[in-house]
Amino acid sequence: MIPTVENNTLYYHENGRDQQITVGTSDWYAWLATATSFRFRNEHATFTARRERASNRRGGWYWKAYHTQEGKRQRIYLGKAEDLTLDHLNAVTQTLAQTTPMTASSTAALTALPAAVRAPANLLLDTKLHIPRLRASLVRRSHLIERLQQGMEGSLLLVSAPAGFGKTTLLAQWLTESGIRAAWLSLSSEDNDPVRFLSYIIATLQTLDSAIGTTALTLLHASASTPLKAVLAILTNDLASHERGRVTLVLDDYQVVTAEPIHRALAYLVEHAPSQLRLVIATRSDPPLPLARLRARGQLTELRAAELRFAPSEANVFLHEVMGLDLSIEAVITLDDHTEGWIAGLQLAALSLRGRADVVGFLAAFTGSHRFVLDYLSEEVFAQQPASVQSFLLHTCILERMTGPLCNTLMEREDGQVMLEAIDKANLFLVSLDDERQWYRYHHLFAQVLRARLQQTTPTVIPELHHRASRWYEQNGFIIEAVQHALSASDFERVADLIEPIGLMMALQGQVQTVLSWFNALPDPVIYARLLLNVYYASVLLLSHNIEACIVCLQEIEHRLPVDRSSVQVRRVLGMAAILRATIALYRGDGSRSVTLAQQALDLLPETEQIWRLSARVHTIRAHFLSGDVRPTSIDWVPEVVTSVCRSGDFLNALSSIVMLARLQMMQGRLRQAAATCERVKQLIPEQQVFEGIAGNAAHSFILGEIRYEQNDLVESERLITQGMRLTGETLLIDARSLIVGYTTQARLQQALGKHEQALETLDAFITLARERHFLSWMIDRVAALRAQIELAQGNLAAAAHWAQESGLTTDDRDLSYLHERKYVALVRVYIAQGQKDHKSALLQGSLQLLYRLQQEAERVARMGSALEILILRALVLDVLGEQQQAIHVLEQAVTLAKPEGYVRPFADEGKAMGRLLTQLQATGHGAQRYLQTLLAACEAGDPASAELTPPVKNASPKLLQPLIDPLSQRELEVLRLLAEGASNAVIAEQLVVATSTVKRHVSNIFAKLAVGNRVQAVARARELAIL
Amino acid sequence: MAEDKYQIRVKGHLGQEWSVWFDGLTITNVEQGEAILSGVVVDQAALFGILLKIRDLGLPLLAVNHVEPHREDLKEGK
Repeated sequence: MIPTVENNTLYYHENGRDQQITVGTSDWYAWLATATSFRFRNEHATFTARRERASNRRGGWYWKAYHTQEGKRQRIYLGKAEDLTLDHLNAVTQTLAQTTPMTASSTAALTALPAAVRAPANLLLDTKLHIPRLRASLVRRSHLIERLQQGMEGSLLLVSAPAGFGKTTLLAQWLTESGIRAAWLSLSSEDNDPVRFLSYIIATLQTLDSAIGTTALTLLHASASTPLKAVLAILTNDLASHERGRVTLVLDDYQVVTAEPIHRALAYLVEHAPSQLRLVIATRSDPPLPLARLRARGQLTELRAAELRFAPSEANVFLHEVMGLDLSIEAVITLDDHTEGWIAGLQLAALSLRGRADVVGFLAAFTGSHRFVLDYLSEEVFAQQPASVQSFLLHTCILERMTGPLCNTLMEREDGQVMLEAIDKANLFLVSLDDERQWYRYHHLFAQVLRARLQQTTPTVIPELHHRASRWYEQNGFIIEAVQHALSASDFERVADLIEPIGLMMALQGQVQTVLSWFNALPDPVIYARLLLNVYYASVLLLSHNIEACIVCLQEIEHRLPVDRSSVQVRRVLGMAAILRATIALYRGDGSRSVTLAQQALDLLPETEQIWRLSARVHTIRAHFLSGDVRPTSIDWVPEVVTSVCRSGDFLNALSSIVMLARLQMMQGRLRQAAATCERVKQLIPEQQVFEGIAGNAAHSFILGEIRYEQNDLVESERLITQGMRLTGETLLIDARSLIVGYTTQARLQQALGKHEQALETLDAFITLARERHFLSWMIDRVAALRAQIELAQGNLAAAAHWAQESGLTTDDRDLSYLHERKYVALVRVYIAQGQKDHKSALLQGSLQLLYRLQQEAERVARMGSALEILILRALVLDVLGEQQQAIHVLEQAVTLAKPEGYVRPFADEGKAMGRLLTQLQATGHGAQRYLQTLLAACEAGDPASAELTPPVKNASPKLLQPLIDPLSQRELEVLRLLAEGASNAVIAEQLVVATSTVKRHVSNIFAKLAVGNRVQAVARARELAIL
Repeated sequence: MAEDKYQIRVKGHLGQEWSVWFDGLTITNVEQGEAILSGVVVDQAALFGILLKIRDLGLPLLAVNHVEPHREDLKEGK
């Protein structure tokens, strides 16, 4: 374990024992004199300090702090050992925290971070986005360039041929000559993570136009489970609206891609390519795309090995002008013939011939040999090199790409840049990747030959070479490459060291597949030996939907914890594990276990783990869904938590806390406030497209859909529920309770729209799903109760009565807690129907008593949403019992409660009986005539034909003069007045002398406070409220 | 478990030093400038790994054959 400083104390392991030293003591400075590195951690940040030799080589040793953020490394000079006081080290973390938006308490909770604060591009290598530099002298292949130029008419250009046929050179030549500005991407095997692949695609497209793909990129990194299709749809949309003409995208070395999701993404891109996009793919084997179909449609242009071979005339130009040889035409023809126009073979032959006097002898030996051209010639060429070049080639060939300093580290010499330039000059298969002659790579073929030779001659040095490369990449901030080389070196401890600080963060930002593959490559004992790494592994497993594997991993952690669980480190890990378990419990619908675990986590986690602690507090909000207690004094802490989470930048957690607050407000019967709370997500992610693409958004769509349903805005409700359902299809990871909201609201909607069969099918689908995912039984019971209620509304009293009987519920039951409430309100409905039919007044009297008790319980804990429904049911029972006056009186109470919030469906769903009662109430000259009219219209819209035509109540609703809970500020009022005049954001900005972005913020605040979605609604609502 | 033997025929003679690169397959150079890589391949993934190496060298692939164990061997094996 790396020595770690925490809480003013250094913890390390020496002589088989755990040791402790207080920072600043003489022991501390004595230890520093012998140490090479340590980790420092406090509430602001974590960094690794390393002792290094001063670069001028004169001075002694200095300490430097390395801080990794999103794969990019920051370096801060700490000073000499005697400067390392506690105050100084703490000050450094503050500097780090200020320069990085998210304090790298690298242990973010099981959720994502807001896209806005991240720069995922940092993880990308710029060199991969350059068109390789062309050599000064080349064979001009005008006929092929012409073919390529013609290919621009279609949508896909495929250059498919084995290695060494000059694919890359040809494409670079074509683009340079034609002046086409292209986005170029050189792929490599580590790009087999769809998120990484798409990040590169977007990054390279942005070299043409920085506006392309900004939204898609935000979405891609917004969470660990973003649907790729949504990202691609937004990207193609961007391309389609690209105004600067064609966009040419070149993917070089596509054969390295093996990941199926990437092939699918590419197929989508080809299939849905807007006319502006030209896709060019260079590959050694054909990509799995519907090539035959594209060919038939004339959209595909192909260049294959047959076309790419050098004809004798081209071989002649190549050997003479490019390679500077003086050969007879016969010799050229012989070479071209024997290599079959294979360019790499011709180049090797030319290299072998350089400086050789006996051309005839060489040709005779070469053509007389049956050996594979590459094998034969590379040996010749290699043997001709001086020993220093041979050694350089042989050692650096393990690199995917190289630069002078990296080669220096590998060779333990200082002449890397000189060697690279010399090799480039000698035309020894070196490809220059940029214009500054900084990065190079060997031609793939040559690299293969060299690697085979290295493996055969000195395989033992290979791990050490990878180790050196890994160190260099780490020190230069390229963590992904550092990990790759450490893996190649089988240095698993090093891999673990590298991924512990950044792995979880990377996974949260979308690269789950990459991080998971790293973890999978680690032997179990390496992971198990590190508690923190182990719990991160569990998190990544959960993020990749591997719930079972995550549970196994958690068991392993708990099994291996020391008996003494009092240390901070152990408590931290236990706390994190508890949160993961709390999340898993939630997917299974076990809210009470989730709450218990989250409370445990809060006890265990140190105060410094702020993000994990917030995540635990969000979990504990769910306690109120179990108790049903929503008294203002009980839940007054919740808004504060929501605000903290929103500020923390932990996007998914913020989203889920907002949805929970809205749910509590619905339970309180505050529909409008709940809707306003939902609007707060717009402050988190203002871009609607991004927001709608995030899977975690399903819960939000569902609750807003339910609110709109209650207000009888069926069109909007249906849109939201459909959107939520689409998102749940993409992920398994959704809170079971949110699924209930989605399915039940969908069923109620279908029933309201007269789609009777579909309503029942929806509920059955939920029950099947709940059984598959082992949801708790009360969830299934609740939905079964709604099913009976809907059957009853469809006139199937027998089925409903059967349910009531099977349920075993009676009106005398004592346990009327919130979890069971839905069953009892369904039971009462069945009794009303039976009482009406058979004049069983005993059932009705029992129901009345039951409703009284339910109402008392609901009112005791301020659950006015429940109280409203109970009042409505009481009115209906009284009506059937013939107690008309009392019925009207109770209904009046319900109307009083419902009107300010705009409830419609609780009345309308009770159908014609409710319609009659409302008419009677209206006849008494009740004050809320317009509201009653709305309710009546909704009740009478019971038959399917008219239901769909009913205008949403939002437009028809009476003016509700209600003060805003969160009043508009003076500035917001000014903005609102200008909005009402039809001013654009730009005009408002000019008038108020502020930035457009400020205006946008005011506008979105106004929308949130007024609970509206657009300008027209805002103005209408403001007029209703007499604000304007 | 019965191990799978394969014979992979490519165009061009290869030096013996390539054997290590091709997961220890035996290299036999035969007439008409062809080479045969033969030996035990643990599974399909390993086979495709070898084929990809052949692709990446630009080595023309002529044939891939699964070598049926003799019936007698099968009987002995059982």
